Formats: sequence, structure tokens, C-alpha cells
Amino acid sequence: MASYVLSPKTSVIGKEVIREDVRKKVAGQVLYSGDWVMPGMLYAKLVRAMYPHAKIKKIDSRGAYQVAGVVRVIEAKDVPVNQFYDDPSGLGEKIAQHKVFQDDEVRYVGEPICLVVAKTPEAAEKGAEAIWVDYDVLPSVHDPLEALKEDAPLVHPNGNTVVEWNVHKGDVDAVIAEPGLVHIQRTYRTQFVDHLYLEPESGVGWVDNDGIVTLRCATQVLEHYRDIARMLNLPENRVRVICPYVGGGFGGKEDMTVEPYLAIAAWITQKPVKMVWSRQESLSARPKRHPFIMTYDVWAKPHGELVAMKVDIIGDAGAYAMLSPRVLFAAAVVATGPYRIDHVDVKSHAVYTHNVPTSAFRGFGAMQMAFGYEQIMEEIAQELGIDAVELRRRHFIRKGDRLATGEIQDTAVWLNETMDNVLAELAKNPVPADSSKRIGRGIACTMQPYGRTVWFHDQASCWLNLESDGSVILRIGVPDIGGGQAASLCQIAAEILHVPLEDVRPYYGDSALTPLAGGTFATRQLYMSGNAVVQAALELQEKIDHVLTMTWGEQQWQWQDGIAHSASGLSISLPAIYEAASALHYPLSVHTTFHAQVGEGYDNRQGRAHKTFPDFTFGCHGAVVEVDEDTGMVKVLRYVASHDVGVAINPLSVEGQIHGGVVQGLGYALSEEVVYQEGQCVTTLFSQYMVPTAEEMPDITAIILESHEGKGPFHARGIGEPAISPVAPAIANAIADALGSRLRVRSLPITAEKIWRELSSTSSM
Amino acid sequence: MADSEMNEDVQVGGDMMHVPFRVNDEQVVCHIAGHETLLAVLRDQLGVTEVKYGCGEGACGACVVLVDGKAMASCLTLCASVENADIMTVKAPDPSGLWALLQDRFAAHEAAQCGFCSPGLLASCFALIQRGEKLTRQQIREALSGHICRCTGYHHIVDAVEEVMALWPVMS
Repeated sequence: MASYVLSPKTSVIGKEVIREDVRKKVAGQVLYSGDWVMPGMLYAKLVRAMYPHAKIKKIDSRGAYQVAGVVRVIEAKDVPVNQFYDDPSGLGEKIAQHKVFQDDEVRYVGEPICLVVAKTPEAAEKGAEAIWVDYDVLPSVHDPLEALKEDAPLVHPNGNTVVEWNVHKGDVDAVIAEPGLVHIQRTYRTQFVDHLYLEPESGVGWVDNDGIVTLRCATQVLEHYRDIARMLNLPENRVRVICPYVGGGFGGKEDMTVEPYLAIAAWITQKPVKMVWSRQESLSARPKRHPFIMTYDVWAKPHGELVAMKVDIIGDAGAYAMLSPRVLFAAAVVATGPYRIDHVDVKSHAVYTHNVPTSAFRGFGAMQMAFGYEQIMEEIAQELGIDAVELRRRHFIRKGDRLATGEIQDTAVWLNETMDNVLAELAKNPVPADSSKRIGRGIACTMQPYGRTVWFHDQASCWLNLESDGSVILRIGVPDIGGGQAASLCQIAAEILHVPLEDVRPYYGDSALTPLAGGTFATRQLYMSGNAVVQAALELQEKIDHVLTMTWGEQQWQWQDGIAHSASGLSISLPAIYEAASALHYPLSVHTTFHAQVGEGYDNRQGRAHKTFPDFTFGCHGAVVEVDEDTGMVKVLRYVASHDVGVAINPLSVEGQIHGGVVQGLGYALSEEVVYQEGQCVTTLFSQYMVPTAEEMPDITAIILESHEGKGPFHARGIGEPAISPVAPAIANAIADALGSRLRVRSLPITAEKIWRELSSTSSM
Repeated sequence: MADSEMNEDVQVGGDMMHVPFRVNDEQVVCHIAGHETLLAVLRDQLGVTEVKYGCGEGACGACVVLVDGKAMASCLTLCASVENADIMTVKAPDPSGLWALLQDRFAAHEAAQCGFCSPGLLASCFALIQRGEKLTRQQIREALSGHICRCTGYHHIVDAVEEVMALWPVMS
């Protein structure tokens, strides 16, 4: 990490800065990927598989060419390399991912088969409808537990297990033989959910004047240009990805969406091609969040000491691995939550099925686990007859503790602090009990990694330079997906360079013109790119100071608003320094790379690591809910969320991340589900997918704490994903509290129907 | 508008027709097919890119524009039905200053993150504020329930609208 001294009085760090991009967005001035048009532009539409598992016998595209306006049908045989491979675990296991176009065996409904390119969107759509695909339907498997059985249909030839991760600490089998322990086992399940960003997958691709395949598209990862180059069998320097402001990502634009299709269509037709997925395509066929089946076994001493925990995790990977190995790894690492337990066994499996593939989604496997560990903590406390808050407090990990994986937690752990704040806030203005409704209160304490696992050798580069008029150009290849990624980097540069914020201009999101900084995922962007900007700004400031002293002499300089003042009364502006630097042949430009803390690969056999993720963000959420006994309907009356974010670079944006995470989490907890029946999506309409609206959501109290101990710039910690993880268990615990009598819905979403059934199951009613 | 009324003024040529209307105070005549939505015509013919496709079924609110002052989902509105109407978006000329005030307060509260829902949302807010009612936070939430925002969690949006509501009568 770059070394620097945090000035006691910062000028823009920690200030509620109004984001320039937000000003432009609310004025309708921002062009998103789908808003771009080019002369002679064509439109592309995918033909997608209708069956979850079938052999393709024949693809007859003649019908499409009968449709006026259809230019070209592109199939598997037209693609130079029709197969994507990658190493999603990062441990050297290359996995064959999906094909660009499936021409043999389809494995999920919606799998791309071919592409129609036409002069209008309507012609492309009609052309796609006119293509006849002849299938031999094969038996399919949709339940991951079924898929693990001996006689299950195989999704891929090597078997249906994608990956199995182990975390192993102590000796569970030995300690649970001890007499007098209390043991409970519970299983928790989660559902398929969709990112449902408002901007559908979209982009325009073209071959530019110099023969570069150029994609201007909504993505979280510029570096996919390399996958596209491999697909086209081109050198990597012949493909460019440009990413304007993205209309929401949440992990759903981390895997490629439109990129391969735009690229192959532009390459073959040599014309600009636009593609915007319909909401229906997006809902039914783009990767979802993994449904998990989590079985917890916990052993405790009667007075309330947790002795051992076993966790078995099954994640439905769907038909292709995508990022499942990483998601299930994150799940395994945090399976026991932010608690000190000496004896742990975790097994985490990703399993192939003929369902839609599952992949990255804000929270990335760690979020599902929170629904498990924060409920098992409540259930074991109930079983022991002790207070669940007290049980948590006794077992919270602390700085310096060894986690279940064997790694040492080396930064502050403010679990008590966040929990105390939440409890104090919840205790204010107690909610009056309405006799017809049941009131319940629940909390959840969680840990969520930020940054990539240490064996990925993560890095982020940036190029920072001073212009002749004293303005600053920050070039950095981050995709800005709405969280203010570019804006916070400007704040960091302005702070260190002592210039007004408006003097720093970000150039971002272009694989050819902005230094690569890695994707906007894994809550890594502030940590990685933020540190890269710190490093670059410190180096640039050093150069500026050098020119200053070389030209105007060694003395005490004080910087204010881009002007250096000397004790002797000189005032030197940045344009003057730029001129002086030119005279000295000394460029005021820095290109630098920040390297994350690295470590060796995970030892999966031993289930141990020296280090997994760079760090974690800790927090606590609490909710008060009202449950209608007659209908099972839940109303969230109050919601409080507290996180230690290390340092809040822009508190307004931090609060925004927390609010947004909470509401997305409330949808996950209470209503959202993409429903599949035998692999066919039955919730293909936006209006069938029950996402929270303003009306149902409460005001949210966000309590931001600053331990000054994160690993990001100015000791910030990531907050994008941590904000969503605690919501579902906090709500589940609040609903269980309202229901009483140890009634609990252990599967998401916790719908009115499930609650009503739970209430109806007791004769005590 | 009834079909018979509409057809009197609309010039029909083949299965295409010419439909005159105003967009942000600019007179336009669009040559359209009867099935074309206002959303498609605004975006594809007129380059009104601030109107967004989010779902195509009137459920997300990203395509909302003001049609004669009324907030409507342009993806469910046939272009043929807006003959002679005044269409307004967040980029409309702004003599009253209400668009600017909304934009300013939305920015100040960071009531947008990715911003994709914002132009449609602001159109509904414009219509809401112009009604001149004083609404509680819950009533504001209800009034905006046709707009999905996936980033902000709505809290900051309600803050911004509440503030504009408090300021607006003073300014007008």
C-alpha cells in the first residue's frame, strides 16, 4: 500500500460532495450504451434455446432471409473460436464455459444458438422468429441435490460437480464426542433473484478506421476485450471496449452480455451493430444469484459457548460454471460468520443443473451465508435459553484473531460498535403494539470481503497529469456503474494535489485510452483504483514540489487551492509550475500501478489459507417489522444499518450505497424470486418480478462509523456489497420474533404465504 | 382520445401516417406506423435519448414523459394517440424553473446513482409538484411507486422531493 500521512484536516475527503455525474444524469444529459447511434447501423437479435436440455439436430435459417431487412444470420460455424474458457477459481483449473453459439447440445432455456442481423430492430426480431431449430429433447435435471445422484443426467461429461471447497479448523469430530453438548441442525434455502438494473444489456459494436473491433457497451469489465480477441482469433491489441456510465450492474454485467454478439456481428458485416436485450431475455436467460441450500450443525456448551460448527453448502450453478467457483469460495470463507469458533468444517459445492447459469451478484455468495449464520445464531441461543445478542457478543471475532480459514484478521473489527449503535437506535421510540398485528425485532451482524482473493495478483493502474492551465487529468480504466466510482477517485486526487475538486477531470472506462484498473466488482474499485490514485497523486505531488524547489528555491511551501505560498511571500500557481517544468524538461505526468496484497493459492486439501481476501467490512443491521396474523403480510416499520467503513470518502455516497443495499436486500428477503419450472422461466415480465417500490419501503437510518483501519485510500473500506448482506437475516430474525413460539420461515423469499402457512401449522392459534 | 377523432386530422398514407406534436416546445411531424409507441418514435426518430427503455410493459417508469402535463409511460402510449399534444421531458425549456429545481435537489441529495431511472422519475415529480399539494413522506412514496429505482433505495429521492415541495410555492 502507498504510504502517506493523512492530514488531520482534509478538504474534500469526508465531505458530502455533489457528484458531477449525478447532475448530468438527472438533467438527462448522459448517453448510455443503448443511446448511441452510428451511420448505417444494423440491429442484432439472438435466437435462444427453447428447451433446458436437447440435442440440436438442425438449424434452418432460410426463413430469416425471407424477412425484408434481414442482412445476415450468424451461426457457430461463422465464429473463429466458438468457445470461451477461463480459470474462475484462479488456481489453474481451466473450465470450458459456454460457446458463443450453441450448435450441439443446449443446456438451459435461453442459451444463444444464432444471431440475426438486420436493418431494423423489428426485422431482426421477425428474422429470429423465422429460424427453425429442430431438437431432440433430452432428460434434464433442475434440482442440485438430484444432480448429485449417481443416475442424474449429466450436464457436462465430467460430472455435475463444478467445484468443492473445504474449510477446516480444529477437530470437529473429536470435540463433538464430548458429553453434554447441545446440538442443533437447521437447513436454510435461498432463491434465484435477478439484478434488475434499469438499463438492459446493451451496446453498439463497430470496426473502426484502423481495423479495431470497438464495443461501446454496458459492462463492469473492460478487460473482456481479451476474451473477444480470443473469440475472433485476433491479437488483443485489435479489440477495444469503451464503457460509458452504466445504468446499474450489481454483478449482472460482470460476465459478458452483449459483447461477443456485437463483436462477431460487426466483424462479419463490417458495419456498426446495435443490440439491446429485451427485459424478457434479461429476466429469463441472463445469470442469476445462486440459490443455496445451507445446512448448519452447531454444538454448544449449555452455558452458551459455541464448540463446533459444520456447514454444508450446495449452490445451483446452472448449466455453465461462469463465476460459480469464486462465489462458492466466498461462501465457504464466511460460512461461520464473524464468530470465533475453534472447530469448523465447511464444505461448499457448486453443482451443474439444466437451469439458467448463476454467477456474480452483489454479495457474491457471502450474502446467502449471512442468511444462514445469523439465523443459526438465533436458533442455538433459543435452544440454550440465552440472549442471542449476548451469544454474538461473546463470540465476535476481534482484531488479531484467527478466522475459520486460518488467516489472521489484521484490521479493526467493529462488530460491537455497529451492533450497539443499531440496538440503541432500535430502542428509541418503541413501536406501539397494535393488537391486531404482531411486532418483531431482529438484527444481523455480518462480514463481507472487499477486493479479490490474494492469489489473483490484483492490480490497478492510472495515469495522472497536470495540464498547462493547472487542471488535472485523471485517466483510469474503471467502469462507472453508478456508485460514483469515477467521482470518488477525483476527490482523492484533489485532496492530495491540493486543487479544487472541479479542476480534476476523470477520463474513465476505455480499454485503449485509460490504463486498465480492473473491473467494478468484488467491492474492489475504491480499494484498488483508490489506492492507485493515491499512489499517482503522491508521485505527481512530489514532481510538482521538485519543480517548485528547483525553480523557486528550498523553503517552506504551503499549498492552498492549487497555489503554493512561501514563507517569504511568494505565490506560485500551477500554470507557472507547469511552465517551469517544461523549461526543466521535467514532465508533470505519472503512470503508476497499485498492486494489492498478494498471497499464495488456497490449500483446498487442508482447507487452510495464509490469506484469502485482503480484508472484510463489518456491520450490523436491525429491523422492526409488523406481521399481519390473518394474511401473513409483513410491513417493515423501521430499518437501521451500521457499518464501519474505515473512512467515508463521500458520506453522501456511502449512505446511498447503504440505502440501496438495504432496499435490494429487502426485496431479496421478502418478495423477489425468478421462478423456473423445469428450467422454463415463468416470471419473464418486469411486473411479475416483485421488486421493492418506494411505497413499501421504510425510511432507513444509516449509521456510518469510521475506525480509520481499512486497506483502501485514506484507510477506507469497501461498502458496495457489505450493505446488502445483513438484510435478509435481520428481517428473518425480526419476523421470527414477531411469530414467536419458535416459528421461523427458513427459505427466501419470506412471502406472506409462507408466513401464513407457518402460523397455520401451529394448533396454539 | 378516441380513434375516430384522431383519424380526422391524421394524414394516412398507406399503413403509415403523419402525426404532428410538440416535443419540448419544438414542433415535429413524425411519419409512423400505427403500432409504433411514443417511446420508439421519441428515441429512434427524434433522438430524445433521455427517455429510456427499461421494461416495455409500463412497469418500471423509466420511459415516463409528460403528455399535456400528465405523466405517462411512453412505452404503452401509441404515438398516433399524441397528435397535437405537448410532450415534455427533463430537457424541456424551463421558464418556471421547476425542472432546474428538481435537478438541483436530486443532485444535492444524491437521489440518483446510475441515473437510468432519473429522467422518467423527474417527469412524474414535475407533474406531482405542479399539483401543488403538500404530501407526507409516505404520500410521496405512494405517488412515486410507479418508478423503480434499483440503486438509491428511494430514501434520498423522497428527501429531494420533500424539499422541492417545501420550496416550490415560494419560488413560483
